[in-house]
Amino acid sequence: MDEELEFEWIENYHKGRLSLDERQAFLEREQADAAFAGKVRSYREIMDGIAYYGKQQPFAETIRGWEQEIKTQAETDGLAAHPATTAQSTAGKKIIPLYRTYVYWAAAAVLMLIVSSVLLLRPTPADTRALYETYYRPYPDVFNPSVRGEPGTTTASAREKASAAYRAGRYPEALQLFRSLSGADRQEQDNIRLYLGNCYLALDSLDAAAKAFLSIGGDSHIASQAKWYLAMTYLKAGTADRAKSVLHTLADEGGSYADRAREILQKIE
Amino acid sequence: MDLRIRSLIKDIKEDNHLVLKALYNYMRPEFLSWFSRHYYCRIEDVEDAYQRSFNIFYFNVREDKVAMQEIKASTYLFSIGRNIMLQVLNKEPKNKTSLENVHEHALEHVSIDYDMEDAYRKEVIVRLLNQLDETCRNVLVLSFYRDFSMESIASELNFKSESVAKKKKHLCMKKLKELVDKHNIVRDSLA
Repeated sequence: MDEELEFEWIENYHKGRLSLDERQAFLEREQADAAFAGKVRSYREIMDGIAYYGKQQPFAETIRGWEQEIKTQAETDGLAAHPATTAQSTAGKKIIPLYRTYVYWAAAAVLMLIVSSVLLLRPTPADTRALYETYYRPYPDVFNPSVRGEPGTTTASAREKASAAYRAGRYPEALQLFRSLSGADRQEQDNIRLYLGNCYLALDSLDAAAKAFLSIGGDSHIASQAKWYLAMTYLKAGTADRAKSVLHTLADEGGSYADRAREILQKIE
Repeated sequence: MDLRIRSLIKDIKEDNHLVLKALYNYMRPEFLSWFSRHYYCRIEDVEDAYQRSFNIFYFNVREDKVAMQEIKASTYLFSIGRNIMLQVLNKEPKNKTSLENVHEHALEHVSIDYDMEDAYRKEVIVRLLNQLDETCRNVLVLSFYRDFSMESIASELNFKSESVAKKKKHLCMKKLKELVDKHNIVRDSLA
């Protein structure tokens, strides 16, 4: 049988497209002919592998994005993205002949041109900062302690004071007060983290803000809010790639932040 | 951060990318460092192995394919990594006999998963598909993953006709089969 036809036969069997008689003939041939059986096995593996490739592709792309971020960050920080090679690169330094340095300089110049042209097309920190200014509003004080807390107790009054300072925009004071609270349950702990993150964000402590928002788990009642303010933090910090990654998640989730996330993504992509 | 798999299941199933990314960044340095020291390979191969291992880790947890959920995420990832190095990337450990005793991550490599051989075979195909040109990949994925008819593939990828698309699909499949056969010969010679 012609190779192409044979493969088509195997494919049709694999996809369940053979009639009962054709299927019977196929199975008989597979039983009688070891070479054919080997081909069937091999093609089945390949077809399953292709289907798996299609399935895993979106997450593989996400991983590649993270990997790229790590490398970009390492370059910015002047570190090696792969720790194992750090020692090797410092230990076995070679002496490069002078004439070869010209080649390296030329290559470096070309690389600089490419990198700078790419950077020119990317959103600058000023752009992302402008987006932050447009979209950022401090998270409203919706978790009102006078309703949720126990008035008269020390904790409730500290919480009320923290909220009052936050509402009035006295962020250094609010920060101090929120930091003194531990939160009675997971929900309240996450609320405090969200307000703490907002205080840090307002006070330009962007690392601390990101940490506060990241510490709110994906299963929290305010997971979307945490992601939104994390994206705001990244916009303020000028790290567009990180902001985009979080905004894509929000857009995909389709919650109350999805439209705003898509708007920003349209502006920075 | 080095959590047991059981504690990560919920976040992974809900596709919580914040947690996944944090986990990815956390486990990466140790993975790269250990595999670079214990395998004959370039750092690029280890980076490749890490991405593939994390990918398998993610899908296996999502699809309840991890038999031992009490082990650490890193132990499981290292166990996948060892198989990826050998079975997918054809890279040998530097010292086969002492490898089991070198690191706790190398210890648990048996019975962690229900059906890992199948996953590695698929991962080989993923690797080899990436060696084909983009048109070939698209033809094959549309046919075997999206189950498009030849007519739809021709229209989607702007081929002149259904028969041109069919010819292309056959050529691409043939190329992929040759790559798979070549890979198996190399792998068998290492075994």
